[in-house]
Amino acid sequence: MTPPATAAVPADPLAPMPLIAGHPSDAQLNTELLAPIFGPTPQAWKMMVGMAAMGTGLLFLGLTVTIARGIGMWGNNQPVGWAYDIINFVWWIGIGHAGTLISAILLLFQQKWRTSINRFAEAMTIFAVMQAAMFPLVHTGRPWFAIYWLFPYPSTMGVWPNFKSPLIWDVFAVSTYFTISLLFWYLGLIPDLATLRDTAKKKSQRIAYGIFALGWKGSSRHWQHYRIGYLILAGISTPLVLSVHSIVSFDFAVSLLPGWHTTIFPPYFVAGAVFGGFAMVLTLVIPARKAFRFENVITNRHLENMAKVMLVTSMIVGYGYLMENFIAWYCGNPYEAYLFFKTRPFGHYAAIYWIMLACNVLVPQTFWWKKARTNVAWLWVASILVGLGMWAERFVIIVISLSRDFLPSSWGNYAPTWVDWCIFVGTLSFFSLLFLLFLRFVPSVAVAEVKELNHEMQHEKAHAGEHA
Amino acid sequence: MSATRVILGQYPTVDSLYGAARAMQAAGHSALDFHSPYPLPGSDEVLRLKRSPVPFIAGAAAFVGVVSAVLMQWWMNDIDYPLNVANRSVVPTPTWMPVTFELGVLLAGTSIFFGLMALFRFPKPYDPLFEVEAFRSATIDALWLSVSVKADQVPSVSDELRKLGAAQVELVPEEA
Repeated sequence: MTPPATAAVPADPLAPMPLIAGHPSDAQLNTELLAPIFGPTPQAWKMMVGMAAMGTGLLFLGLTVTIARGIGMWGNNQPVGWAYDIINFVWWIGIGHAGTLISAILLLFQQKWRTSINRFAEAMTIFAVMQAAMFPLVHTGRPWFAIYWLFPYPSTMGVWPNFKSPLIWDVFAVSTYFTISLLFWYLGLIPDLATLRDTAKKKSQRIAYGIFALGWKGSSRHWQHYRIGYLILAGISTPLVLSVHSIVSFDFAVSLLPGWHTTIFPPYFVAGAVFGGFAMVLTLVIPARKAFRFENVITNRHLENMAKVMLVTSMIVGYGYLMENFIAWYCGNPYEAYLFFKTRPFGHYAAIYWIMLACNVLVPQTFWWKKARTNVAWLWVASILVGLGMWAERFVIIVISLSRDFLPSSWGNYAPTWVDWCIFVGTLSFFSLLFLLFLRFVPSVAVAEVKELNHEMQHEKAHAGEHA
Repeated sequence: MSATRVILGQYPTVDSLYGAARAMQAAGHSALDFHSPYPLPGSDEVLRLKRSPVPFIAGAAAFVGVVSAVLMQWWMNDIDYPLNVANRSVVPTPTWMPVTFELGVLLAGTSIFFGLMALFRFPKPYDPLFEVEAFRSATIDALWLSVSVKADQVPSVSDELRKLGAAQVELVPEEA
């Protein structure tokens, strides 16, 4: 029997921790990484699936009530016409962005540490965009009528979408983003699905995975096209992900409302998206790697790197907050000043504003210390706090600006109804359900890529020995 | 006319795999392929593969996406149903850029995926290769060389592959 691939701690404290612990063979990696699929179903997994399915029931309840009785069932009303629906839309889309960042941008920069976590992150992207897309669609009130002004098709109404509207840009951006993310994810999965087909012992599994593997046989003639295609997809996903959240920010920046009408929005939104998304990757990866014993391939170095990315993006977001306040003061516009210096810090929703600042600016400052970056429990708690902080940020931007605009006579506060809560909690549950199913039925770590990285590392090591 | 058969040889290292491929090429066999769990560096040169058309496909599709987006927005909002918003100009405006960019990306991305499917002739869930039980290791941990030869050459080529260091040699059954 082959010995298990145990974690090796480098003797030199300055040498980076290895990306793959030990010296596993291809067969060992195969067994370890596919264990969650072929192993017995864990009780905890069944319980979590049950809970997530119940929570998903709330989503269907909320959606049914909304569609049957109209969006008057939500707390939105004049002047706060956008609330939980758009907050959750922006929040979920933002979470999706870290997935593309990890899989595409880090691939282009040849950051090898992405290999073990990219599949998690890509799955997260797809599931998050699915939640996000639901909100604006339901927000149209009658989605079955909305289609003629969302997509350009020759309807009997004889009109076309208004391409000068950021809301239409959003439709194109989000649908393109979802399609490309799905294709990118599936393309990356094909070799691993073939590995599953060939590792499976049961005939039913061989047939099921065989169908999804499409006939992959590891041919070098295929690998040649595949690698180039994958790289170009990564190349075009990179500007795509930047464009999507920039366009989402245009929904606000193109209007005239205090707190929305600023030029800093696109980069500020993109950084916030990456920040919140990395937090969500950590929230998901930390329990998953523990449950499925992936510590050898998702090492503490991966977690530490993600903490560093969060520190950087937190400071970009913090700079965004600072700039917004500076411009509000510098522009001399009384409405801007009132919003930034009265309503946000001391108004009706001040608590949410301070939660935003504490979670997004203060919490990640702990990541200057290696001790905080390598403390897995703290990383997990911090990642949840950042997720909360980013949700609070969207609340602050959307609801506070709408509740206090120009004329005091048109001011008004917003409070969510039980339907709003059902849909929000429901999307969290539906996301968890999809993610749990993904962990059990699909290789959650890119097996072929980890094997390739393993060979590269062993090759480098052998050559380093030659030169020494 | 003699039918073509596929012979598979499994090799322990990349060097022995490439050595065997070069020997086969020297013996006049050009219908070769490698099968491995991950892409092998240098395999393109050994197999003398031509440049992949994938970048061209993606570029052409992106161009079509961009042009059709511009034409679509212009025709829909300025010709068929003129939409005058605040008397802004009707010629290409910055407001067209987001949709133009997104459609370019969408067409490039989908063309890469479906272009690859066409190049691979996928979906092809059944292949006679999959009848060879040992070949399952090609996606797990083993390196295989496949050679297409005429039926009467099977014994000699199989011997040759063994001499070149193959750990095991298998004959793929004929397609039903």
